[in-house]
Amino acid sequence: MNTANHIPQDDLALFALQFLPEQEMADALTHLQHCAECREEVARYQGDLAAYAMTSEMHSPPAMARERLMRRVAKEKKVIPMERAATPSVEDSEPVLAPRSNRMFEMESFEDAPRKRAAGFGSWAGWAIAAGVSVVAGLQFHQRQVVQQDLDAVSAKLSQSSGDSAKAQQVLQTLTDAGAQQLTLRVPVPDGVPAVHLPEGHAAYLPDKGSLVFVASNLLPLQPYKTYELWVLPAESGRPPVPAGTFKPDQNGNASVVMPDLPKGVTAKGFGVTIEDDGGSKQPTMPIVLVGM
Amino acid sequence: MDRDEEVLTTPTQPTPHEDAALLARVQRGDEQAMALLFDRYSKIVYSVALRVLRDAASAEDVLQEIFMQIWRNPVSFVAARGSLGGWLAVVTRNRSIDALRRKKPTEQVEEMQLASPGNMADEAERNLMMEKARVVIGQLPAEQRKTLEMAFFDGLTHSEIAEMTGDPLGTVKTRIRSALLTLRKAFQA
Repeated sequence: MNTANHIPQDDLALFALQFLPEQEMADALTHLQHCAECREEVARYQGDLAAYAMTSEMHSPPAMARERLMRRVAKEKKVIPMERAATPSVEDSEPVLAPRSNRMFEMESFEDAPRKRAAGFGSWAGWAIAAGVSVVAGLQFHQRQVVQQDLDAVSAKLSQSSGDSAKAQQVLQTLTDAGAQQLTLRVPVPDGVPAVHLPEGHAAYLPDKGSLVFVASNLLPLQPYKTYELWVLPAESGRPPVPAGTFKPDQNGNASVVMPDLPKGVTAKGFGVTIEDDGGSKQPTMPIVLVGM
Repeated sequence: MDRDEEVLTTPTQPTPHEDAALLARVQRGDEQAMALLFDRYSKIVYSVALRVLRDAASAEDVLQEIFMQIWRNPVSFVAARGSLGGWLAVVTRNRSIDALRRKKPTEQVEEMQLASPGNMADEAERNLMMEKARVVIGQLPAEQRKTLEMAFFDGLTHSEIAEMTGDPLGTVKTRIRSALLTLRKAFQA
């Protein structure tokens, strides 16, 4: 490749933006494989684009996005690959299959030539048997692989369904279990003051399972870069509040936190909600805007 | 420790090196490391996707797919393309444009190195970068600013921009490059 014919600067910027037509893109990629100078320039344009991307107005993702991602992550656990020796590879099986094909072809020729049959029957019979065994072995291996793949797919689906079902069961149990702590969280107001349309939250919590379902309504809108955060207030004296998830209300003031990541066995004397910076906090920032004890 | 004091304490600032360490932990299947990466970069990813797609649900789809890509194949980034934050911002824009145009992701460009404009793992520095970039872009000639916006965030190709604005193709290309060079100079200063 002639690296002297560098890609024009304008086109390098277009390359970084993925705007070059297909053929020009392919040519550029070929050139870039050999031209460090142009590669460096593309890297600089990529950096410029990254800086420009930062001019976007910043928004926090929906409160449940993190939980959704972590659920998907948990479902796609990393697995240690099976040892290569345990499953014969294509390369491993190829030497067996290749002679088999040749031998099959020779067998057909042999059947068309009866004169040779009597003379070489003994030796050909051996080859024919070997070829037959190879074919059967190959077919069996192929079938085993297909069955194994089907089995893996079904197992994966079953595992996923079981996980979903268990989760749903846990949510249901948290909401309906007679032993679940059920608390309504309200804005603390003096006695006698009507609490119509005031923010309100309802928490259902199973301490031994660390399961929590929280639903809130009439929440006030938040300032940019702020989020509500739910806290479990432990009954154990001296134990700090446990963060139980961040959430933002929708346009109707409703929000929920379902099955946040909580330690098991924390008995709650109540729940609280504070307003924190986006991303949440490790310690509640006063004041508590909703509380239920 | 006193509670108020703890709330006000500035947390230890992360570094790109920590990004590499987190990616190595992700490679080993450490879900907590994945959560930390999400906490650090989800806002950038979501914001860029939302800016391009202008739809919260679609933006979250892009967000989820990009972080799942990191989970599935952190090695694809370990080649140290300069800055995880910068790479995520660019990849998010590309994936969002692909989603707009309903075309398959094109990964060749994403495999190129990226010269980081700064330490995007550090939230304070990231905020400074945002402010600086906004100021620089605000001072660009209006035609340059608009052309870059149409190209980067709206995903309009140089040909489409030329057709829409009636400007010559060469002018459109030059405006895009000039705007990016101005931004680069400001960050190098």
